[in-house]
Amino acid sequence: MTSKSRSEKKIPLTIQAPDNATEIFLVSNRFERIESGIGKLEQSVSPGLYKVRFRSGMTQEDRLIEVGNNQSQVVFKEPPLSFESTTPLLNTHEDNARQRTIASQQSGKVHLKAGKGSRLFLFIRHQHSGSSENPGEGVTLHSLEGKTIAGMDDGIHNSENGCWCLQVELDPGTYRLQVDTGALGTFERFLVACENWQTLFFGMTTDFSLRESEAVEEHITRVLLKSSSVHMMKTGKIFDPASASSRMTELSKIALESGRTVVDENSFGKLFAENIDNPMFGIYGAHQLLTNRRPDYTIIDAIAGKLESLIGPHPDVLSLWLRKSSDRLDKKSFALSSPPMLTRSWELLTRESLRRSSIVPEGSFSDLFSNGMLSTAPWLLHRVTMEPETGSGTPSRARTQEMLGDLARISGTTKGFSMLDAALKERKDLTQLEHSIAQAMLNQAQHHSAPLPSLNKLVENFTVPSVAIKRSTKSLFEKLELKQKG
Amino acid sequence: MAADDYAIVIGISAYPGLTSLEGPGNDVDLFTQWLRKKDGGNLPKKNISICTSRFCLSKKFDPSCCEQIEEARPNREDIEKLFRPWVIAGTLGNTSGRRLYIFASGHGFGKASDSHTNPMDTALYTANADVYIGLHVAVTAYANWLSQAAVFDEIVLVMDCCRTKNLMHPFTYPVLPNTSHDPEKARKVRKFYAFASPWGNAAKEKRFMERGNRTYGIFTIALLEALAKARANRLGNVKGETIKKYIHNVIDEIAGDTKVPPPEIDLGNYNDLIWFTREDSTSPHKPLVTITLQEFRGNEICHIQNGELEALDSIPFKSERLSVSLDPGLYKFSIEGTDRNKLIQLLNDDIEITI
Repeated sequence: MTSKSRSEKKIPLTIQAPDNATEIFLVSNRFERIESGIGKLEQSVSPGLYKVRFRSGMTQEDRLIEVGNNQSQVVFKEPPLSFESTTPLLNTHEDNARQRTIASQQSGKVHLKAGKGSRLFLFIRHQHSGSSENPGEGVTLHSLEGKTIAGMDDGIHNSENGCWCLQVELDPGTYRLQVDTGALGTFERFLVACENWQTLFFGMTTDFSLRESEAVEEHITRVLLKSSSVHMMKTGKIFDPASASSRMTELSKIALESGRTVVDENSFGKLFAENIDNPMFGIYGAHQLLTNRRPDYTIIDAIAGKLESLIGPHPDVLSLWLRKSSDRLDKKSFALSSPPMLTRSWELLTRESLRRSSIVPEGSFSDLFSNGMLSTAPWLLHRVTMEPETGSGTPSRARTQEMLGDLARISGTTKGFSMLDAALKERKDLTQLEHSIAQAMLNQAQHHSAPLPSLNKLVENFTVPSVAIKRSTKSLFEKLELKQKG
Repeated sequence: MAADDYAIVIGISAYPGLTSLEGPGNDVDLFTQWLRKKDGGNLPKKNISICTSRFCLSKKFDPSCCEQIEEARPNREDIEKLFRPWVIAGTLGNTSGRRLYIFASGHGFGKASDSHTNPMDTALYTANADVYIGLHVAVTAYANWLSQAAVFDEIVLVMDCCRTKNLMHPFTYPVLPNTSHDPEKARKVRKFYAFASPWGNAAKEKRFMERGNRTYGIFTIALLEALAKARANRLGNVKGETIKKYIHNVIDEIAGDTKVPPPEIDLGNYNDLIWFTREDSTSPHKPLVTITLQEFRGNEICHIQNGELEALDSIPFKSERLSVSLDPGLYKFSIEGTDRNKLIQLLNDDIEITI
């Protein structure tokens, strides 16, 4: 019997990440990627030296390992990596034991009662606890209709540890969390409260001062909504900053933020069951899987079904059904009048509105407020502005297409082009969406061979529901006092 | 001299309606220097078109004054006119050269629709953009059109800008002619499309002490370091794949405390392009490893094994320190007769280890 040469000999190598949301990359001594995995990687390799890269959130750590000639197998385990986390978790970059303890203790208390059935817990902190400024400055909580529910003074400010929190008991539904950032305006995001569940919002502050020089003395420190995080737990439970499910959920949120997938399709069902106490893990994970080139819809459907039975008709769960081939969608006739929390859900919703405009009911919040929507992955944000009024009444799809054709025809003439161009520069009564539609027409007119901006194209480009495009096209038509063709 | 190579180099630092940046002007300087270098791009000066805030603005212009936003430049017209000669050539069906470099540094954003249908669509905000009206140039659209028209055999696109998305700013494609292109020619265009960040993420700039305390885009520095140090193959060619791997391996180290997402680099579907050929086909620099013993007794021997665990050398220590030059790779250093050893990753920089 002859011994195997080096190149033929293979040794089983197992690399175990600290958790099931950490990516693993196995790299050869020539710096070529051999294999990648999530949570665990098993690969038979030739004896030699290897580089293993672990990625938790935005943190990357490289380890060099030896697979010796005489070893029958090699198992390499990586301890937990510290990563940047908005949520105050153990073993993270911004880990502050006092802030963690406060978040945990206060998550079990109710500071304000504004309804019943569910809770919203808001926790905002400074990265460096030295600042005495209240991190909750500029924050207000509103109903979807705009009624103010709570403000900074309703919460608990711990100046010594640089954090502010507020737990509100309220009716299940969608709420608007607004932040006034001064000169940059007021922004809001949406938070969904589910029956018998507690939605936890975590945010960190940042400097919003408009500084072009160091001379500016006033610093405007406000919570940064776009990097905020959302977790969920059963009402009555206490937030555990050391729990594996909190860590997995946070890493899953970061992955969605950076367009990566850190859930393995094959083990997602098992992972979901393990982290069922925090349904946001399932929501983040299912939305990641939907971005796969060929998503396995049986897995996504199963998770969506379980999530729906667990937390009810949450917009970010319902949006998982929004795809052409979903039987469930056809059987289940639902409308999403309130906006989802995730940008990804909003994209699915606007796309679906082309097939079924009733998915976004006319006059609903999702319709009327689509004008100032900002999507900064992963959250859907909204800029609260004093927008000029848009007209009422939604034309049919055919009528909208006709009006778009008329607009294209008008802007194709020298006179019409100048009129539209002047309107864009001078008129203050056009909404952002009306402005964008007019601009699209001018772009088309400049290049005659370009296809006519269709309703589909405008929905895709502006990522707003079709009902908003229809109404704004009609409104633009009326404001410019254009006459219909023929 | 690469007389058939051309470059469009754009850097926008002054944004009166957004936050101004410090890096893009410096990024442009660095990349242009590389383009001009004999052992770099080796381009004639006349083949490089530069468009920066510095080139376009008068000295009276104050970028911090939002009132002057309409005067801010480069604007869309300034940038688009750089592409015009090549678009005309493409429309006429002409091939204009071997390679076109497109380098863009500034504020940018990615197309805000379904992230995975057009993963490459990226725009550079023009200087007159603000948070409400996001004027921009869809640079990737130009690169794609020129590639489809096979105006050049090779397109090198480098965008050191954010690729976050902003629903307020619909992604607007430039006005480009609808012409029928030869699909076979288009297929054979070699590409190197490099983005500082993956779709949906921000790019970062940083002050570099070792570079005169000036600010640069972290990705630009990683690219320039790759161009300076990445190893050539035995024919002396430094290929796109090599540059890509080098960047991925060093960018975290270059970023230091600043957290950066992994860059996105696409080499296209045709053959990998050769960035340049080193006259000296060996490594431009063979890094030095200096080993210091924790305790020197006078008879220690250092064994060196390569990444395949083959014995490379055994060197006796004459003092507590020992230096050896090696090619980049993974190595194991061990001290004979002890269980003291160290695994190291050697890129192109000298390193010091203690065993």
